[in-house]
Amino acid sequence: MAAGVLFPKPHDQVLLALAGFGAAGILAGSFLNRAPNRLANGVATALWHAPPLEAGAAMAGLAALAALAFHPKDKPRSAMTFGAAMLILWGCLSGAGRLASLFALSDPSAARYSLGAAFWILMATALLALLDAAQRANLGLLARAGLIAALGAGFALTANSGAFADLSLAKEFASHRDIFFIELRRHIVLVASAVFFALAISAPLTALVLRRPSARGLVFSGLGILQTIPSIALFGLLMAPLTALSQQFPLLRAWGINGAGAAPAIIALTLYSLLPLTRGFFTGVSEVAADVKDAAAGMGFSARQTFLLVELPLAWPALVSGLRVVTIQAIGLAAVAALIGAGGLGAFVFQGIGQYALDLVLVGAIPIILQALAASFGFQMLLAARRGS
Amino acid sequence: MIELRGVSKAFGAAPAVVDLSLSIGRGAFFVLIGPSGCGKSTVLRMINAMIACDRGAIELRGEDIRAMDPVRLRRGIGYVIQSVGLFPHWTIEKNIGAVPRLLGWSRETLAARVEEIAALLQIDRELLRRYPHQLSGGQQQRAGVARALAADPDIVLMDEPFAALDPVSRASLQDEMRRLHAETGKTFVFVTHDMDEALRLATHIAVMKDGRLVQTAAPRDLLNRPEDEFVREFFGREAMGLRLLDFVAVRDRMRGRPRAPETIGADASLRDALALMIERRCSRLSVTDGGGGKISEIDIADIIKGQDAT
Amino acid sequence: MRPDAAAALSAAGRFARRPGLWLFLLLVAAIFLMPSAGILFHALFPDDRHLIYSRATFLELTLAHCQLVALSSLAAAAAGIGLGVFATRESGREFAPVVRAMAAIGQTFPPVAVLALAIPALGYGAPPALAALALYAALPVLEGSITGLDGVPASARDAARGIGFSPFELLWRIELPLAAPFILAGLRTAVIINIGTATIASSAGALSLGSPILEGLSAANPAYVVEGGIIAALLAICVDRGFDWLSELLKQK
Ligand SMILES: Nc1ncnc2c1ncn2[C@@H]1O[C@H](COP(=O)(O)OP(=O)(O)OP(=O)(O)O)[C@@H](O)[C@H]1O
Ligand SMILES: [Mg+2]
Repeated sequence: MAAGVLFPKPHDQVLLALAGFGAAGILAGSFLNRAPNRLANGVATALWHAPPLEAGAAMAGLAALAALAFHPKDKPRSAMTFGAAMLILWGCLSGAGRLASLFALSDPSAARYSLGAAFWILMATALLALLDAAQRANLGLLARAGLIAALGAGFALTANSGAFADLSLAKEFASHRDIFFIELRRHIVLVASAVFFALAISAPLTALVLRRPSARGLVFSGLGILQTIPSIALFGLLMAPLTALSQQFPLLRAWGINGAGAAPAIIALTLYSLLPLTRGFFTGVSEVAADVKDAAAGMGFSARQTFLLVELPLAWPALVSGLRVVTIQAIGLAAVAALIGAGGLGAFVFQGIGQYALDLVLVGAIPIILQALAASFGFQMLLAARRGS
Repeated sequence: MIELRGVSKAFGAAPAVVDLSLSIGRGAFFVLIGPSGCGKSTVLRMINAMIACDRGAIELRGEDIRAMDPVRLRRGIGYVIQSVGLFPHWTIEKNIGAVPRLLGWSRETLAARVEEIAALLQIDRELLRRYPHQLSGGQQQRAGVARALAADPDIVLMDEPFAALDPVSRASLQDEMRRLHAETGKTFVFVTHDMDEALRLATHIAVMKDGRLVQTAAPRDLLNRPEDEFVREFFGREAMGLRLLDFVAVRDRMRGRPRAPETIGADASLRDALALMIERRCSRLSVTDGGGGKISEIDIADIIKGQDAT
Repeated sequence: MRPDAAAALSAAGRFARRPGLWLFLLLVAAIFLMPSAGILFHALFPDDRHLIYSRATFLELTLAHCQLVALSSLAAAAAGIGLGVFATRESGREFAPVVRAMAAIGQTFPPVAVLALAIPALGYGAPPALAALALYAALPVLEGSITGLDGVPASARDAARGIGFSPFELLWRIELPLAAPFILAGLRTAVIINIGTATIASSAGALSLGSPILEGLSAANPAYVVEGGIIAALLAICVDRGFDWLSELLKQK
């Protein structure tokens, strides 16, 4: 009882834990690293050296999270958590940008300012708090989409105004701006063509597996083995035969198919996609209950109508989940394809790793992650929309 | 043995048990009965400290349960949960031996005990090696009861343990319980929906409604003097008289010399006698003793007349 | 004598019919015989360059690779199971939705991207690779643990508590064994992904089977690529088979 008076029981332990995590991040890590040039190691700068308004906002947001943990009512707590998280996000982003600009006034132009651990920990804290609030408030997908769009728009506007221009991440992005969009397009093309080919192959494969139960074990275990092979190994193993083929057949070379580049990448990505897609289709269609199919047949549906009007709609969720898995996987694996000269956002990642230019790594890695998240969210929306209608 | 004093429990705003006081003596066969949702299971779970009561106190063997280590407390009490809850990854044998194993019994003692208890509850030796999902619902319930009794606890809590059994095995297990109770003097707290089961087994019956105690009494007193309309209704108004006949043996009402051709044993209940009369379309039966010799006679008028006596 | 011999023979027959065994032997052969396959590579890639990777022996590469995967997977298993247990306890229930969402969202992060993020944070070499692999691999294990522990029938948990299992005994004897297949499935996903990511980790300076592949790619020497690729692929397939066998074993128990 006495302990209860001294330390009231929190109503939301998650918020309290997040606030503690954020505070530990501020104390332990550097907010911004200030380095004399692109390759040198930086000197750590803590959050409290940032302009007072922004630093204050971030810390106030964190304190608010801790205080909100003791708010008894769920609804207002979620709403205020949202506000506190926004405060932290703004404080971090704007604080880092303005701190870099302040340093830039006195430093030589080669100096670089990269984001430190404290920055990332605070961002993670704020985003997790948002996630928790959204889940507690039982926010629908549409509301979440709106929230994400608003966050994205806010970020884009601030970025456009040049608030982050002095951060080395922004500098790397600016200096690679032209190729960035080319590589982004390449990345998307790699993923899209792989998913397209995988769809085209897995549809007849599913039909085969459905008709011939005897082929089931062979197909699935074969695709399963393909799935386990490390991506770069598969890329590499495809290169040699493709090189040989393109030397044999000039026509292939004329189409741009040779050992390196997009061809082995798309083939490998397609191969990886086959198992999840085929399995998704197979479970989707085969789990449509037999009595539903019987009823359809009994009402006089033809086999074609049964498939189009009954089986396909009922199998839809499994289809979409299969597509979701495949797309996310392909986005990640396409990054590796940069190693065999297929381009894509992975090019920045591996170029950055090779040159020890860590901000260049981020220029590749962050958009890859965002793409995967966007794809995942998009497919969830698709599923929900279908369920709603 | 078990003492509940002014115990209350609410889940959120909804009260499940309200100001309940019970005194369960050593060696009692105490049956809790009442409509679904009236709080019977909650009472059982408060006794073994699975649920803490909001108000009031519970004493076990003279000691407040709040002062006891709940784990040790529970190991000393047999408990059959309503949904059986056998461990799916263990064989029946291992399930039955769960508590003795926790208590660190030796391998031999454990094996012997499992065998003994399985025989008592008519669980086939062959079933012992199977997994729960390979058993019928009734067999699972038996295994659940066996698990509760395995460590030989002096208090046994049973939450509708025979609900999934067919009438024949149910009756035979009820006999087994009665025998076990008589032989060992264990204290049973038993929850059921089934009135006949309650009347058959109980030394005391507590009728509950909406979390409150309506009446506690010995079975016969309950039938003779139901507290109110609810109890009367619950015991099946029309059948109450018939049920009362269960408690009187033919021996107590027989009179005169045996003349009727049809016979009935002296230890049968009046209800059995009445049933036989109706079946055979006669109004008198000769009464036989254990050896089969006719010793007296019972008349339908005597069955009916004597109903509310004693 | 005769029945014994027959039994031994049939046991040997069963043994020989396990594809996993042959794959494993193939892997061992590949590791040790690769250096003597020079003639083969010369025939395949008519080139007078050095065609057998020689910075490290293939055994060293394989062991380094396995070490990377084993250490990170062990750490991931400990973290994933620990967090999963925490999120399914009474005291951690509140964290379950966030933890679950984190596991789901975290798994949409491509493993390569996680590896890429670890480098700015932790530098080059084996430690950041280890950390990235462990971090990523913890997520499927976590998801498996939560699914498995949540799937324990409430009645079994209730009964165990009711007949006097202590919280630890309940976890150790009832909940974890029942959740084991799901945890193992998560671990399998984690390990297979890790074998793949460890290959790429050599781009950040960790020694692994990816080293010959990457060197082959940058020096346009396809022989290196094939050598590393074959061993890495065989390793992954063997480990996958191993998990097959483990889960069979678990089912029989
Ligand atoms: N863990 C719980 N959380 C919330 N409410 C509960 C819980 N356990 C029981 N209740 C509620 O308490 C009341 C009494 O439940 P209890 O299980 O004791 O009934 P019962 O008499 O055993 O019913 P039955 O004969 O159907 O088993 C019910 O209204 C039930 O909904
Ligand atoms: Mg009940």
